[in-house]
Amino acid sequence: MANLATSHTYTGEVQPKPEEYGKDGLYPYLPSKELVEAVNLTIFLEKRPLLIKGDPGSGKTRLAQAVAYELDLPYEPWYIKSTGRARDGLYTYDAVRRLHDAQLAHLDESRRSRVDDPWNYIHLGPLGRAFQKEQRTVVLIDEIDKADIDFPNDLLLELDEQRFFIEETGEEIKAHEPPIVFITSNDEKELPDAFLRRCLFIYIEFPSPSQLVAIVNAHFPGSSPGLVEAAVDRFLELRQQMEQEKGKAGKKVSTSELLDWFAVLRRHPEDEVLAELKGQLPFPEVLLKSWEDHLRYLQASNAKRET
Amino acid sequence: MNPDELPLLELFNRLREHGLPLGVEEYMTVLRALRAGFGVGDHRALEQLCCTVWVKSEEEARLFHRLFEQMLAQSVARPREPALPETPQPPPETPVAPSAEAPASETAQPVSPPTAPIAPPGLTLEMDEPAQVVQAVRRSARDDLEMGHPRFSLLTEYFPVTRRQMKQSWRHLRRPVREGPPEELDVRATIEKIGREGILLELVLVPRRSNRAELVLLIDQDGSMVPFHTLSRQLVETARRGGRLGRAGVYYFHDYPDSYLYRDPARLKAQSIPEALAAIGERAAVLIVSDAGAARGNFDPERLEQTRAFVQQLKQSVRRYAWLNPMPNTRWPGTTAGEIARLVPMFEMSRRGLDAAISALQGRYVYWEKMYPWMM
Repeated sequence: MANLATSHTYTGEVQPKPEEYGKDGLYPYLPSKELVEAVNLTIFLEKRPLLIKGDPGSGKTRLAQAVAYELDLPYEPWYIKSTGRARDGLYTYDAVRRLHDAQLAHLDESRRSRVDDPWNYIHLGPLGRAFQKEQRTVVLIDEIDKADIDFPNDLLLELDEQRFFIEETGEEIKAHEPPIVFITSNDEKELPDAFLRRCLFIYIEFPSPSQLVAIVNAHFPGSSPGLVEAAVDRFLELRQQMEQEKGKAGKKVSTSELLDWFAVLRRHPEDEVLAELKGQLPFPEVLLKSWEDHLRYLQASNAKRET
Repeated sequence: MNPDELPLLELFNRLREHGLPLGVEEYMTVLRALRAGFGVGDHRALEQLCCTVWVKSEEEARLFHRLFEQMLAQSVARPREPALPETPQPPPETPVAPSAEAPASETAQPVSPPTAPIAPPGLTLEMDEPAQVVQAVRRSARDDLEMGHPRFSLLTEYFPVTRRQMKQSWRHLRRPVREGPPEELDVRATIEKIGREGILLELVLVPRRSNRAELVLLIDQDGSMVPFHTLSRQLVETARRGGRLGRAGVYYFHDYPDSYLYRDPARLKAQSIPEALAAIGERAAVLIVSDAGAARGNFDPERLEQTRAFVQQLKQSVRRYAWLNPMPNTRWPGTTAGEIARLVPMFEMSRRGLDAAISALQGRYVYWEKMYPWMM
């Protein structure tokens, strides 16, 4: 990537070491070429967040941390809840605590000095902290569609101009370095046009079979190649079957479920599992999440046995 | 691959014509990224760059890829026409691009030196571009007005009221009630308590406000309503999800409610009208969605009588009701709808109409008896 304007370039090739797995949710992440390109564009353009969509379990949330790890930048996740307000990501002001302290101020000298400074009661949120850091910070705004429909619009000024006001003190917080913002959405609510216009967008496609094998190998280094291949093949077969029956829109087994499933498979003796993979689906409870899926699977496998 | 030879602006305008929310800034962003060395490898890289910046959903992506293919096919076909079969890739000739070598020396100066060597020599689409884009954007907007027809769009939102607007409108239907565990600070009560006790000992908490507004949609299904099925489905969907209503029920009927209302669109699960009205309850707001005969444009005395009878029944058991007509009000006079509009507050399906209907359901007085000029 010929890009001199910024010193940060994501390659997707630097992975955490096996002993770091699971620490703060850190796992290997193998992005597609398109995804790497989109991430670098986000880093370069500075003011445009990257909106990531894709099937559940396709690795939308994990990307931000993988980028932070490779570029060795601070990471601030912001998990949105249905009751969340846009301001919570910037800062919260604990008025009750201050009132409480003010009550007791005449009894206690240290408390009095505390009360005088409103900053003692202001807690910066993920985006607020990212603005204050001297380094560029990777910010993840996870599942923005969970919040109210006007939530994204409330963030426009902050993302566009990279600054916000703390109303309680009248201070302006300006970003030292523009944060690298990733936003994930599950499409539960549609996002407003004004917000979308400012975003870059990428849809994470389901990985190819060879990518899947690479992903499994990265997560479970030292697994036997035969087992990985057999498991991925069986998994793809199931996925294809689901696609045929439910169409493109239904919930299908995802990459994250494959990893869970493989974690179970590798705990058992290899020859046993290999034999099982040829017949009935072993440990179906990891992959089939609804009763209909289960029934459909049973019907299909019965039909297969009869022929 | 020289991106300069590609009619990017044309592609951009086509996307805008299809209703993508794009502005000059989005076009400039792509140029800026190109200058920095993004998307200059081959077609795929350029396609991906434009897609990342201009496209915001899967449907739009499909549209984009189709248009990009078309553009590519055209731009590949064009250079061959000048009857030069020898080499298809000479960059200095650039028959398509008007800005060739000449402006390059002038325009390259303002660009900061470190980025200059990265950009290919043919990439000189800077300086004069913004003006071009603004002009083009303006021109295409004016063309639309002059042609007198609305822009068509392949995307899902082409109704008079978009899903988002529906949700926003439903929000106006409110009956806030505090229920649930106390978790919100009652500032007034807390201050009073401090005043009374002289010191803050304990906060006064109250339950959160939640919306208990109940809405029941009565939807006319099939027949002349077939073209509006998607619209009614959207009304139901938005009311149920994202409308933040306490309850959103739906009943279906055909033309007019005749002894029964139905719980499903196929009209199999019947419920007699008195039973259904009892289930709806007097607190609920009832919104009837029907063209009331305006779509076919005839006058049907039987339909009018039957509707009048049903409205009588409705009035006795429900306090708030309104009628939403998917046909514009200019099509009502002379049809059954024109007469029914004198019995029930009837509004057309537009942003204003929907808001007015919801105001009526909120119990506010809406001047509906002679709302449209032809009713005088």
